[in-house]
Amino acid sequence: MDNSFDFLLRMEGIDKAYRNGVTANAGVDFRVRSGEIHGLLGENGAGKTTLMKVLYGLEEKDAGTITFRGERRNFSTPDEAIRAGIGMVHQHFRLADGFSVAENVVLGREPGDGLVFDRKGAIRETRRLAEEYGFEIDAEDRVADLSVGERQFTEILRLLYQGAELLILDEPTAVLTPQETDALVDSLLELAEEGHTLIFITHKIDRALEASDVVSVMRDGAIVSERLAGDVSRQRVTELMVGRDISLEVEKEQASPGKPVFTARNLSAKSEAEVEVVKEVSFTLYEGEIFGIAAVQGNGQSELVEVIAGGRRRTGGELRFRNRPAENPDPGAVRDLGVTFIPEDRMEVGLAGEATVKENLTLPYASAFGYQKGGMLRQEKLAKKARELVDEYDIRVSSIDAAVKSLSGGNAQKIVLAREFSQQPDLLLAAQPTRGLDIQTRRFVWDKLLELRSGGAAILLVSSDLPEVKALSDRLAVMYEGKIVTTFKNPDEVTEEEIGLYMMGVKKEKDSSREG
Amino acid sequence: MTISRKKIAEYLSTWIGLVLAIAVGMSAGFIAIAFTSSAPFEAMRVFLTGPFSNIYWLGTTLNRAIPLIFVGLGIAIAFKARVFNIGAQGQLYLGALSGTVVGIYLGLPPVLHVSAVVLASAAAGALYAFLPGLFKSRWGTNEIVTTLMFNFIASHLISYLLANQFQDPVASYNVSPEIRKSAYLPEIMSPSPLHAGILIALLAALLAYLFLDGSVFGYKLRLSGINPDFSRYGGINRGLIIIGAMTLSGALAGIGGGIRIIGVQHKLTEGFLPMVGYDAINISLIARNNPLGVVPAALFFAFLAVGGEVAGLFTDVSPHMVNIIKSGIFYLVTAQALFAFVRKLTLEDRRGERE
Repeated sequence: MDNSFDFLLRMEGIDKAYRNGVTANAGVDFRVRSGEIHGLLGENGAGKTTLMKVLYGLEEKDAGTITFRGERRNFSTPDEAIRAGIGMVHQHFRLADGFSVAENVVLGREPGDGLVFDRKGAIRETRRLAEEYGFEIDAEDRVADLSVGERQFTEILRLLYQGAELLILDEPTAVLTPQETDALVDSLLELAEEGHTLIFITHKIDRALEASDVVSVMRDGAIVSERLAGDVSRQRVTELMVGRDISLEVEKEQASPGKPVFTARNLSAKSEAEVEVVKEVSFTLYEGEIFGIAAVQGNGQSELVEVIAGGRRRTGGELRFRNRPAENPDPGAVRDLGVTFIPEDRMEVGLAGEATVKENLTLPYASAFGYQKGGMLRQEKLAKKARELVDEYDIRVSSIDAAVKSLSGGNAQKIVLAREFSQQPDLLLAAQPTRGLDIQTRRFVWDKLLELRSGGAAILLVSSDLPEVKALSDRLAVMYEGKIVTTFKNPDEVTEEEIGLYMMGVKKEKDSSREG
Repeated sequence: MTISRKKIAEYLSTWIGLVLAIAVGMSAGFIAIAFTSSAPFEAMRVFLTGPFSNIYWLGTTLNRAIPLIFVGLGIAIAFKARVFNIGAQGQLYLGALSGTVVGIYLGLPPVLHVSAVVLASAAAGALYAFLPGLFKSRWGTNEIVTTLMFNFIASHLISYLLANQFQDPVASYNVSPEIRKSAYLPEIMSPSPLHAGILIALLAALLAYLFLDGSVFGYKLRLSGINPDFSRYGGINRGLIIIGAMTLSGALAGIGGGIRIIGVQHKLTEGFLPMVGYDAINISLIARNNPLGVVPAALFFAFLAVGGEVAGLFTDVSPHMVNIIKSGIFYLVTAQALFAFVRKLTLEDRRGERE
């Protein structure tokens, strides 16, 4: 008997090296049985996404074989993979915002006679699928008006409409609230029951163990273990992923807040679309304290940070740095006040890809800290600083003169972290500082944040990773639709579910007494 | 090493593309010549070797490159900052105007007089580019539109002045009086018209390179050009970069105009060097906006231009046909550079999608 017949998918001996020399997959053997939920676990850069891109026809493999439904296959485009019954939801959704759910679902395979688009048919079909799998979503809603969770369901519906039997979800829970994640896990179970097979890429171990039947752990481009989810502990999976024991707990001492560093009073701001997205927000940041803001993506927290960093004009309210009012400061003026900023969009705002590692690391040193003489850069001094930071932050680069765009995502992010942490700020604005990072680097960021805090810096931490922001923050505010709806003085004493209710706007400060 | 493999692939694709572009342009040109010439091989030979055939043509070729180098450097600096200065033509004219005025009315010893002309033309070009830069940084006006319009203002202003206040009373057409001999740049390769401006141009290229690579402002300018958002949050004032890049760009174009007056024309005329401001955009693109690359790119353009003239003079191919061939080669090479430039921009846009 041919063994491979038991498996829906068998990938054997997959090798893949990128043109920049990074080996993403080295002899990967990966198998998925029909009808199972298979968690593919691993740190960032372990090669999970690459492996799935190879399968899905987005990347060409250097070696190895793929057997799907007992047949040797090699998909060279996603379209071929889709026709064979494989669908993938990417980390960044690929939806047309201005279109309705139904239009997005049928996109590319529209019902109709080839000339006229059968809108009613599209809506009917979308509704039928949503009902069948228990997705609570209206086929006629515009995608732009949907929450992140609903967008994800739209993506999954699209795959189902396309007839996908094997569904690949890349980091599906990264941007969801706990409640949304629960709903997602429920529908994954539902899908599996209906006979679909799921591969679920994640670095969140708890969720993976909870939702999956089988987990495969990847490390350094290879599968290091395949286990039944019920047979393995969280600690063991962590060890397998990291290759050594690492603590996931945040241990921090009691905060001892000092003087106020920054105050926002009734701060308001508008988005690019001229919609008021920050509404009369007030808070104060103190020395030696981490003030966290938890919010689902798109509730004004990003714009709020941009206003404080000087990159966005406020439309109302007041900003005070060290008790001095600041009118409309530009980002340079804010930096001069001792503020550093880890922007949410590291690739677009935090880095200049065409420039070198050295140039990206040392910008503030060259422009503000006097690493110059008579208008010319002091190249040796800058190079020395860059090398120090590369060592200290363990940034893997071939040379400090390599272009940043040639680095892997994780290493590029470390450049931003190294630059902003190393300037000894009075106030650090950290927007989603650990998004997309692996466990070891997250751990490192946490330690750095706590180190700056004990050194007396004020830290504004905005994160949609609820366990993280809850564990790190000394005070935790929740933003919903542009407002701070509540602030917890002791985040340790509330549950994630409780915070989640505020994040989704179910609970607001005013009616919390009524419910209690 | 892995890095070098990628680098080599990049270089190869650039150079293979360049060679292919030139080869395709030449083949097309040769076919066109074959239709119109009785001795097509001879015509092609003259076209390609003419610029090197004697001192005169060699000097003429080098001379032709001088304004292209200055203006190309200016455009490279602007492009590095992601500021699109299309107004080099006007800045060159204003530089020439101001250089002529200083050349006529100021009485100074030779070396000082030349320096005064260079400074005056730099200042005029700088000022003329400063304004669109200011408008862009203040009100976000599109510099492509403003600088292009400024070109027309400059050329009409010169026509007006030459027809009225500034006309040489003894000349029968619109031309200024001659500048003083003390402002002349010496010829350095007689009997060719090559003048010392080539040395100033090479020096300018070196200085522009050092400025971009090693100076604090040049560094900020480059980073701001690579990613304006990044540099803004890094504390670089984008407005200052825009104004600074425009001003420097205009200064270089202005010097190009002034040097043309004191090196070749010795008086201001209407509509001289009519396409330099636009040709230099292509030159900068071919040079990948690298100041040191601007020199060979400008020489290449001058070579094609002079080769065409020689072939027009000494073969039975009409000058128009030669012009078409010359432009064909040049624009294929530019297209190849433009393709690389656009690909770079789109790659940058797509970068966010990865990972």
